[in-house]
Amino acid sequence: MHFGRKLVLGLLSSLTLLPALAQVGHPAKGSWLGFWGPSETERRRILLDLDWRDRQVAGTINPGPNAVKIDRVNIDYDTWTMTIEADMPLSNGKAAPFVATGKLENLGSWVNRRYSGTYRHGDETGTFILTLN
Amino acid sequence: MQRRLAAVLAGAAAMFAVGRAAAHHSFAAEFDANAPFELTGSVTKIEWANPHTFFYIDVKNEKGQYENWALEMGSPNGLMRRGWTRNTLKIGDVVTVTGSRAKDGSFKGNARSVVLSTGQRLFAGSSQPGAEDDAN
Repeated sequence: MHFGRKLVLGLLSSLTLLPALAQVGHPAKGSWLGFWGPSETERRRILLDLDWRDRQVAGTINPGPNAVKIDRVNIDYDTWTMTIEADMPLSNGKAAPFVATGKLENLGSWVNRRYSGTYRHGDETGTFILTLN
Repeated sequence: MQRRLAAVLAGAAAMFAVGRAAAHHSFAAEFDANAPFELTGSVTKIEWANPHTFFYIDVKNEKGQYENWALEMGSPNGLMRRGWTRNTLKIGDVVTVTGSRAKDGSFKGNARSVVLSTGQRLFAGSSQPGAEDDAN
């Protein structure tokens, strides 16, 4: 084989190798940013910081001084429906169950990945839309 | 055999160098030194990467709307030399950042210094001319 052909082969090998090294883990992993609320006019900012630990998704809602630890995450991999459960304080400070169920969409996209659906927090119900930050 | 190995290694090295070079740019190509900013917001994402580390903060504007700013810093190695560690910034921390805004008007900037939620001020390894001597 000529040296030139070997060089081309080397270049092609590295073209294959570099993207293979750029794996990023579970599709839900990352920081998800968006809004949630009971109506179109009442929307609140929400940040989910999700990670893949011990073979399951875990994380925090609104990391920082008012962080809420996520108790449970379930994913139906047939429909990519993710349910998040946590005990989150209401506006009066008392904790109430928070359950959000939504679909993970555009999983092939790194810039347009979306998680949207509905939630119940105590007596309040509403919708949420988050995108991967 | 040695020539074959050399060819493969040369190819891999070339691809690696080209990828890195494409991600690097001069300050003036992207940022405006005459458009300084000071922003306070909570960290939503951190990306330790070469040649530039990025972090994102949520900033509330005067209308009460959220703007998610992408802020560029120096390389991880350069930040370590200025006192940063991988645990210096955490998602949810409230920080104040000074720097220069992107020329295209997007919510993007080159950070020169960051005041952490602890009150500590760290330089951000900015590529802005004159910032090379920023130190702690």
